[in-house]
Amino acid sequence: MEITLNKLQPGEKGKIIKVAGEKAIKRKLYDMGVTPGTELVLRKVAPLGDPIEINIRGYSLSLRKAEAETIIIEKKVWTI
Amino acid sequence: MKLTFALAGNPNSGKTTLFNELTGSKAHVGNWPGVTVEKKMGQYKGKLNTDGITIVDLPGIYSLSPYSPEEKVSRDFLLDDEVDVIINIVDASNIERNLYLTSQLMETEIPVVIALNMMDIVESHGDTINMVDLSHALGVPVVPIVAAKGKGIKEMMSLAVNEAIHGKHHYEYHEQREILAETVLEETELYPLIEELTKLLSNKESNPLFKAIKLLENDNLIYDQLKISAADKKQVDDIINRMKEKYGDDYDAIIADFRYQSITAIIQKFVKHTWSFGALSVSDKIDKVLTNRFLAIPIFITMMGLVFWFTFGATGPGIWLKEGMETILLWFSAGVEVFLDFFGASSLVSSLVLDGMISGVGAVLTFLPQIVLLFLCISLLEDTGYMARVAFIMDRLLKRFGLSGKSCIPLIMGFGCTVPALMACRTLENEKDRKMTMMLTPFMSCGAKMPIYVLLIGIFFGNNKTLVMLSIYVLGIAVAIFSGIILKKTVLKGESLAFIMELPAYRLPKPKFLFVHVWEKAKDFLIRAGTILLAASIVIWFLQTFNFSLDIVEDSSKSILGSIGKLITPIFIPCGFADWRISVSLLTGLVAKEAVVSTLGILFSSGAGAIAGLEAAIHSTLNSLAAYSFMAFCLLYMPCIASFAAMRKEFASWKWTFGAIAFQTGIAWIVSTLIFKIGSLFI
Repeated sequence: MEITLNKLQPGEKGKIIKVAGEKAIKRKLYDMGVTPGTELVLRKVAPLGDPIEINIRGYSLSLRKAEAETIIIEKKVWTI
Repeated sequence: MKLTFALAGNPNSGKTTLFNELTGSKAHVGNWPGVTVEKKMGQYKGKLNTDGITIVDLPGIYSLSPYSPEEKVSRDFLLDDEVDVIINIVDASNIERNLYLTSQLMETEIPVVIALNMMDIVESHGDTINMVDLSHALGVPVVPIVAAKGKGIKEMMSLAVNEAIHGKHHYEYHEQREILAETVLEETELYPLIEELTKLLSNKESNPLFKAIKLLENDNLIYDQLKISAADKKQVDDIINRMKEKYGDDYDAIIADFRYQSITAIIQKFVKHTWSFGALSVSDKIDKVLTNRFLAIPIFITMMGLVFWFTFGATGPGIWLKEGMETILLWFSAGVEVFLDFFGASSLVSSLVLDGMISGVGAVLTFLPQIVLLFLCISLLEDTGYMARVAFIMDRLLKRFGLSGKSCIPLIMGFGCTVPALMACRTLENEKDRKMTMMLTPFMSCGAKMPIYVLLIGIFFGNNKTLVMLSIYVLGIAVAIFSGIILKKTVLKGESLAFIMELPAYRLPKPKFLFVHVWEKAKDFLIRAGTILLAASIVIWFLQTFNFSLDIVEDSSKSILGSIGKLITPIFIPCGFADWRISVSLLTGLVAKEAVVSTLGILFSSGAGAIAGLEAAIHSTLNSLAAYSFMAFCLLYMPCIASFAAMRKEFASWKWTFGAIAFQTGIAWIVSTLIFKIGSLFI
């Protein structure tokens, strides 16, 4: 299921499909390792509703929902 | 042979710790992204077979893109200056993202040595890294170190010297490694284009491979600096256009993608992770509490409250230490008086020493313990990694005032000292956010202003000391918020752009580093007291003792200083503190904020020397309302000379610098006038 990152709930996992959005911001996200094909977990939403925290490539990154909206992911559904 | 080694690495990879180990210097180590905002230099303290090695600590960076000021500083330095070896410090516990920068550093002509730091953390997780194979795959020597414990540093340095002597391509691993190019992009489909462009540049340009790849990433700064002929430039354009055709609009980001793909492939071969994807780390568990939906803000407020109590609270250690300091100074002053009497010093000399030097410097020195405690608290918040969480928690709120969560870090540092706080603003990538934060940081009451409040609150608000003190700090924050809203609607229009920030793993602060940092601050303060403040005290004593014809005056209001003070005093009539001595203290406060109190100490003490005399004299000049209005003015008006210089440097514009101080001083005048006028209606 393809959704934007901001639609993910805390604890849910996803795999990045595409990073859209403004050039400089996209480039910054790429530099931080937010690239297509990478798996991530949405760790939490900040107390005031924004920004969010994700675990990606073994570290924690925080970004605003506005940026998360530009990241299209495939939501991982649990398989046993 | 004189050598220069540059330390490069991601923020939080332990670069500054390594720098301190190498040079024995005491640069500050924090635990939030971007503590080193400017490059620092030092000499290697160890012995090696060279004529000295200069170590340059570059700012922590994630990439060599042209998008942030720190990354620009770093790459300009690496490309333009004479660097013999890049020591690339890599956080082994976060190796994948760290190697992204490595992959770019490798592409320069400078030999790279990878210092794999924090292997102890990796091992404690039960993970392993096959360093020999990693080294083969990258074609770069890898050496494990534990920067915090000084382990592996000698080996690293001799390896680096070896690289410097033999140049980039000597390394024995070169023959054995699997990838034979200098870039991890070699095995990707992009390589033919890169190779073609590199060949084109290699005649005229230094670092052709690095530049070729940057050109394919649409890096205009590199493009504009090309020295090649017009015909060659056309060919460059042609290659870039082919890149565009092949990859469409996304072409400039595709390289980052390929880089990560190559790195991931390498990592999968040589790094064994035992943790499963999505498992909670220790930091995640701590954050379950500290950035919890409901607890985060109460915890933050409690933390700030504790810091405040610790430093200023009537029952806290800060006050207790301050009283001790006062007692010591009283004894010292009495001792000096006896000493001077014994040797029959003239009354003028006694006056210079007791009323000038000791009153002035002593008035400030009593606040040393509290300033040290405040710095201790701020360093603790930084070193543990909590400061980055504060940015995370507060971003939403600060966005409303045209700021970013990252502004929180300079703003909180501003409670310590405005100068490093202004420098820390560089970590804000967005220019508007940066300017806004720099405009507002001085409203966070710095440590040097604290003595003013402690003195006046002690005199006028004996019953509600802590509450009144708190109100001053809150006033500063309130004015900052209000100013933020005004600026957002006028000169700095628009929303804060983006907030993309690493939340570093929590770390236990090392007592050694904490102690060193706090000691540095105390030393800095003592040096200021012994130099600037002592000199200012003597000058002020001189100006208030003599008149323009250099005769000793009985009444200091007739002195040189009195005349100057009286000239500007009318400005402060609406604010309620129109007294020439207070005007003068505000002027000397421009040199250093501590000088406000030392000036008051000299001008109000009537030879009695002791603090009691000073307090009585001030009490007879001001009332509590005027005192509060004066404190508000001190809080808000233009910061000291050192901050002014820092502002000039960071704004890189006289217009903005003068605009900022005019804005701050104007706000100060308006706020204290309002306080006095409105307050007068009730009292």
